Amino acid sequence: MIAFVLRRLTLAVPSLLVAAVTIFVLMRVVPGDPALLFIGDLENQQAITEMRERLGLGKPLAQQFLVWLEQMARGDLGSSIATGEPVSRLLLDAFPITAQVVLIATAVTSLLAIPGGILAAWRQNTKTDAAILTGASLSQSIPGFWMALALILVFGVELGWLPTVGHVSFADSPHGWLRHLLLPVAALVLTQISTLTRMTRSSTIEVLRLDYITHARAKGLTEAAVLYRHALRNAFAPVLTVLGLMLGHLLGGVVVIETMFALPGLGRLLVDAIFQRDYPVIQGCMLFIAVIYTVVNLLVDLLYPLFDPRVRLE
Amino acid sequence: MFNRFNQRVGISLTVFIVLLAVIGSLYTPYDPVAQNLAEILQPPSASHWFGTDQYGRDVFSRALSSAGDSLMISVLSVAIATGLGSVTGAVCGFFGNWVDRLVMMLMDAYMAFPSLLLALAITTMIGPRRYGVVIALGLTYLPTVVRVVRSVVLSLREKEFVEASYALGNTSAYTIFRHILPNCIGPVLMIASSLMATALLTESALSFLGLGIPPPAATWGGMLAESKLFVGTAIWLAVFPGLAIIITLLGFNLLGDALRDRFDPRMNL
Amino acid sequence: MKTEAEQTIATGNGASVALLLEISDLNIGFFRRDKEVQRVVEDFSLSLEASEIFAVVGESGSGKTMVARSILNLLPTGARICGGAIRLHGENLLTASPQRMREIRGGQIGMVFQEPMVTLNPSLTIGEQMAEGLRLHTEMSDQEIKEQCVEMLRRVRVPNAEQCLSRYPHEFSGGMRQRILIASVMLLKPKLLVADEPTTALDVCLQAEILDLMVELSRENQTSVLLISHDLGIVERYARRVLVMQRGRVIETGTIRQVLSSPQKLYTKTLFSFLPRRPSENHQTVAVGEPLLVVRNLRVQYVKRFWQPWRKPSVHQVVRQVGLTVRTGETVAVVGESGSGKTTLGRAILRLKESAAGEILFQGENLLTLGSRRMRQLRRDLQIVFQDPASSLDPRMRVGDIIGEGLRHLNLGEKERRERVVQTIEEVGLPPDDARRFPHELSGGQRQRVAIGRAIITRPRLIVADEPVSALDVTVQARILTLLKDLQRNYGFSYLFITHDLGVVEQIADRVIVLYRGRILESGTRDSIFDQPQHPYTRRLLKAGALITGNDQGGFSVSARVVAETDAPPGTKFFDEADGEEPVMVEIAPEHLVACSSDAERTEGMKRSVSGGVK
Repeated sequence: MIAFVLRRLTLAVPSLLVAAVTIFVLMRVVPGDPALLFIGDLENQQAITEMRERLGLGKPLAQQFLVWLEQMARGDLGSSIATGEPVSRLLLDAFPITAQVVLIATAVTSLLAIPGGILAAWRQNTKTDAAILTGASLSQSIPGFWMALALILVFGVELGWLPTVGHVSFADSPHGWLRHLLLPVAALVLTQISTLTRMTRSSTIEVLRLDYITHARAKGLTEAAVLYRHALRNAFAPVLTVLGLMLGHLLGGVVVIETMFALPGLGRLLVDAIFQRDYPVIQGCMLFIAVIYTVVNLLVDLLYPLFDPRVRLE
Repeated sequence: MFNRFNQRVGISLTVFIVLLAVIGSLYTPYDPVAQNLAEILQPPSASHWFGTDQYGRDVFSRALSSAGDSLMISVLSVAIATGLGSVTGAVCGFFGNWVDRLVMMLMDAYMAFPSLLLALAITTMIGPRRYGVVIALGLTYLPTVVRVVRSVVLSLREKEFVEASYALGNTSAYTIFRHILPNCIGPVLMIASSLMATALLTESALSFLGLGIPPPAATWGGMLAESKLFVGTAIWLAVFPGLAIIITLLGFNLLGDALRDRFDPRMNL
Repeated sequence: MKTEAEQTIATGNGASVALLLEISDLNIGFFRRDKEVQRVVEDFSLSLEASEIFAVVGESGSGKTMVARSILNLLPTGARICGGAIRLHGENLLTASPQRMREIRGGQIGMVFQEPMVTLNPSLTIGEQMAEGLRLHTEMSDQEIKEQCVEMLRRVRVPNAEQCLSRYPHEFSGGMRQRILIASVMLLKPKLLVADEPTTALDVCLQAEILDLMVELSRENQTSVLLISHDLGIVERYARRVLVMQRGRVIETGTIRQVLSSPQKLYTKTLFSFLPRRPSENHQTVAVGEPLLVVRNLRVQYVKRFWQPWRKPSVHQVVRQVGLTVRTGETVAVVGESGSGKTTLGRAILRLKESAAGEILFQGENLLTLGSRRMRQLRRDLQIVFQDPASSLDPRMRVGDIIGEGLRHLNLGEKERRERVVQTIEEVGLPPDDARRFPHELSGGQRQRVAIGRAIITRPRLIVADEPVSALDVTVQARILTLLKDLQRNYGFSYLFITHDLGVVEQIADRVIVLYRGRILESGTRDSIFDQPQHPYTRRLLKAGALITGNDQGGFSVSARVVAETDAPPGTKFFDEADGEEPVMVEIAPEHLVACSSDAERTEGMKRSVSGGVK
């Protein structure tokens, strides 16, 4: 187990390194001089030179990269050009907000999608199945921001039940926290639910055709026991993989939802930084996102043998 | 039975949208970019079916003329992704040597970023050009195609008919072109059609964030972005482009499902 | 539980026998959108007495599995019962409530399936799976359940029964899993055991062991067995009565002896006559041709590399020091169980798999040292027919193109090519119109004909046939074997025929090679291997198979093969892997080689030894 984790981590290093190089190169080939862009004053040559100096733009690319890497390794992500705040501080502020929305939404999605997918598979080719599939196709076809817009209009504007923007921390007011999270979570659930439902359905259909399901029925087990004890366990492994990919990506920031509901999360931080050409923040965010993705997938791999004992961690 | 019905709906919707796009490029009731300050923010009526926007432009004409650009961006970006991705994936899957390992490592690193953020970053890098979005989306979906094609080729390579081809004295090149690639067409079509939907979705999100193709050209996503300010007052500005996107996505998705039913090897055991 | 209404009927000889299961006028159909598209079982009736073993035989598509599954109401989706009755002790199961049905499933009727690899749930431990049934149908405490399970596992001779409970199915071999499955079903002492091809997926030697065990257990518990099988050898050995099915209908039923020795219906007669057996005409089995292919000391291995650079790659030997000769116009059969390396051997000879060492001389040229260009040229003389025609034919090509593909490398004009394709299609017994069809439009037998057509169109010298008939039904199998023989007669091909089926070997082979875990244990002419087998493994293999002989009335008798005692000189020590030494091939009679322990060389009376091959 420990060997497996170590091995996976060593395998993740080159991947992360490639990601780091990509991020770095991407940022350097952006047209336009960031220093100039930032100072915004062509005449103020001195300020521009100072800014270039601060950003280390005068040195050769390779050297810049090494300097950056070395800073990363020390845990120093630099500080924002725009506000001067350390990038790590910004990340630590933004990530919990994204994480709250994403984790709650993923939990809700799983609770709805997995039973739904199993039900659809169990009643394959019936009206129930058709209804679930149609629902999935519809939710898959509605853009997230449109969904958010509709929710805001209905629950925020028309009915006035829920606040539509902003974030309140749990410590300040548990009630306010919940009210502020409801709509973003609902919007996210509605956009994510179809993938997971479909995956659960197709994976369960595959399992249900296998002989051990018939064998379980031939023992006299009830359908509920057959589905829960025998089908779900085996159908869950591929669902877990999808769930991991989903979570890994969502935790990197849900730009659209965060924008619509004015949540100061990771996605928003990155988009704002991109608009402002705030290099250190962009690089820091991207690297953080890659790390989160890697960690989530490692966790999924560690969980995998629980559902499929044939997979051994070696 | 349900599948049959869904297939028909998917094909009809796709055909319908493509027809609209063609019509929209030839004729629109009003000039989509002509401003008419006398008629701003009019609700839908007999003369303006979808109402007018803040410059008095006819929303219906704008939606119709945007269809072409919206579809074109999806089609072109998916073409880039599948074109480059299929060749890369096939080469990786077939030879499976260090090139494969290197490419897959790159793709894995790529996959660590959510597609919207990746597209965002690439678009920023390319800058505001007409086809910047197309290239950004194409590159964003490249890893998906590479992975799918590679795994299809990997499984085809183990098939006995490929062995049979060698047994007949055929070369690798011939075997790839005659036996492996034709059998990839199905899965590639399948992935392409579902990517079309994803690309349209991501494009509209990009436009919504203000990173779409530059004005005055507009996509449905761009129209939605403009409507943000008028949500409380002119709801039709958001409803109609949104519906257009939904109908198109539904068409692409159902078409993708139909293709998956036919080509997904796991579906016909 | 309900009262068990014991129903009795009068049998032909006047005695009353308790009737356990009675199926009358059962009809099963496949439905699509509530419309019946196909009737798969038609007016099926059967009555089964207590403690009886009853067999249902039939080819694929005969509906035998449908009947088996309908008893427990476990038909696949789409299939529905549309008439008839299934009575267990007089209680009609078709009208039983779902709850009552669950009591009967497992509790009164147990079921054993064909594929042990997929019948146990991979994500639950053996203990959990065995306990399930007991928990459901008995009032035992967890401790009692555990004891019962352990005892039962011991009973079916699973080693380390206690630890076994906490292990997962993938840790066991196919044979072990089938034992565990039988144990978990018999644990509940059901009144009826439905066994659907319970050993078809297993190797011959294991088959008999598992079936013996199953029958033993059912005798102990007075369980009746409904044995579904396509294998007459098995049926004859265990069942008292038999029922023959074809296309959903009952063709013939009676005691096994009656049906076998004097089949009444044409279908039964043809079915039996198509069973593979030694041709009655006593043709010269030692071919006179020149050696075409000579393999010496061939070794194939799989190397597994580890990600840690300091660990040595682990090497698994699949084919070890194999030597063999195939002469022009003869058929050499390679027999072996799963894991014997026979398939790998075939592919390695054609250089479709890499060999680690050895020589493959084809017409004097060593294939292993040839350049790829010359190798491709030679391939027109070296062809292969695969086991599964469904995966060996490119699904996107038409039959005509598939068959004609090999002609690319022959210098033929367009017209000649087309003529050759038409001629070949005819030769393999397909209608000319099939040239335009796709493989998925053909039946299994037809597809195999296409695969054969593709192999013979270049008029090769040697065809490696890798289990070409094992995926096919008996009647189709017989026709394909005849086709292969006819083609050989016309064109003088040599076959290297790879198979696990001794019946097929006996029917078509001139010489036989017995392969076990990558080594040749014995080789010789067909008659010498079948009549004077020497190596204990060969003898075990032969004993496990059934012998089918025809009688004068157009009937047959199936019996266990009587294997003569070895006539090897006293003191001969046959090769045994456990000894840890490499074997030496000893020529015990002309052309008959046996693997002996290497110190046996010194044994008196031994003839000269030949290292690693037939001379």
